[in-house]
Amino acid sequence: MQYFLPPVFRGESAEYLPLAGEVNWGMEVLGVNHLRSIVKSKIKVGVVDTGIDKNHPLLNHCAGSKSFVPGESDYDGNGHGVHVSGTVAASDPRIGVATGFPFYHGKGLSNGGSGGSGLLNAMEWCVEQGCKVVSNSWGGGGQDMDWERRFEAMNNHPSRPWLIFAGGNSGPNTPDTDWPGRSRHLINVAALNQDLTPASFSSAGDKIDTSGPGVNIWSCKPGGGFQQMSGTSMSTPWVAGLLALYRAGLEERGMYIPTIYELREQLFNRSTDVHTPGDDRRTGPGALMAVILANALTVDPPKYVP
Amino acid sequence: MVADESPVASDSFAVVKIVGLTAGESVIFEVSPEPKKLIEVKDGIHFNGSEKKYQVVATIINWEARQFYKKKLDVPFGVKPNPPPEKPPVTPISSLYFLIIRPDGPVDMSFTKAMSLPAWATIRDGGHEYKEKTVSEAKALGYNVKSGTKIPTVITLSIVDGKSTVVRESIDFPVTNEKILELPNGVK
Repeated sequence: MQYFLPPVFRGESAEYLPLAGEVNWGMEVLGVNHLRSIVKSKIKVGVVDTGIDKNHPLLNHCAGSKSFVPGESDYDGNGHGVHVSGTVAASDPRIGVATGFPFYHGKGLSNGGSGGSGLLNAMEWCVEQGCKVVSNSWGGGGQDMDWERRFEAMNNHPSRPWLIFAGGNSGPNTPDTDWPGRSRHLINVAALNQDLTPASFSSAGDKIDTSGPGVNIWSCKPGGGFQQMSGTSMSTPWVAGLLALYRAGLEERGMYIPTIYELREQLFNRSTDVHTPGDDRRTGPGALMAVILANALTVDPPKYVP
Repeated sequence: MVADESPVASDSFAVVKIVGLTAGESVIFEVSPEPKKLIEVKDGIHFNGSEKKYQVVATIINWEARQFYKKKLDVPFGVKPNPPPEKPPVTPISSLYFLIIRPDGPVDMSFTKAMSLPAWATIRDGGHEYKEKTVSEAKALGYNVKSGTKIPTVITLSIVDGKSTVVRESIDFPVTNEKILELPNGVK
């Protein structure tokens, strides 16, 4: 079975970021500093995509990379892998949500943007490296029970990784989001505009677990420099970065680490409604706002005994 | 005649006083074992001694009445008294936990905006704590919202020695900085 990058909408590029001011709108709109200000530690995160450029000045803290594409090195000849890696963990807080977190990149998609079983192998490799959150901006094809079993096996790994997936860019009239994002073993992410309305391209479906910024996202470009892209490919690393901060906060406080199934329940109750009230087919429960995740890091009061 | 049996002791020297002598009485002290440096035996025993327990015998003599009696005291000289048992840390009543209870399901945007207000940081800087839970999550912890209560709502708790006490029942969830800063007010 073949999997592909969702169609990505490429925007402007630049050699240098603006020296001041907001580069990525989501940092302020989602209030990322609410989490950054109270989370002091870092965890390992993983990205499975088209490869990496470890010489990019914002990505040279990459902890490891490996190509699972026959005949291709781990270098990103596409641009998509470097972009999503930057959004998860670039060392500049204007770009990387989980700024400077150690990350691993498993190249499971070719430079042309397609992949097969190497994608699954790359995910498992990330989990074996100790990645607690793995960002996956790819999908397509139909449900595969063997893959479902391997997703479930990863969820049962002692490190309880959270596997985050893009919902797809086929628009509001789709009967469902892409597979494997809609698998119950994974977290499925939709994309939002800057005003937190659903992005026009973001696929509709019954199982969307949360939403993040996906339009005009600045991130890194192979060879240096930066470029804008839009897609659920961009909202997925955004959510992965927020969840990496959240998980690091849970771990440093010795708090319970939810399974991915419990995390889905938490996301339902911790996302903020931005479309029709409650669960909806465009944004699921809504936008993942950092202030609500940060609040969840406060220790519960003791059980009340009257 | 009253014998003050409470010696004054310190690391550097010790004093035993026998007080309340009537006129004409005099006192002879014997200290066993004898301290190395006896400083004074005028109206008590003053000496430098190592940390040990001494027996002091005060013989009180009234020459005119031809009476005498002895008072024995076991005195720990220079021995530091045992410190009082440490009390477990007590959370002052002024430290409050504001449990915010909101409806189950996705968060309303107006609630998220209110939770983003800077006054919450001031509340925490003041030594208080706060957390929001859904109705179901709060119920699982034993905190129930009375029927008819407008939610979101705030229940104020005092947590002492791991035990939670509701010190104020539900009040309206504050949505401005001013109202948030008023949360600790009026809690007995």
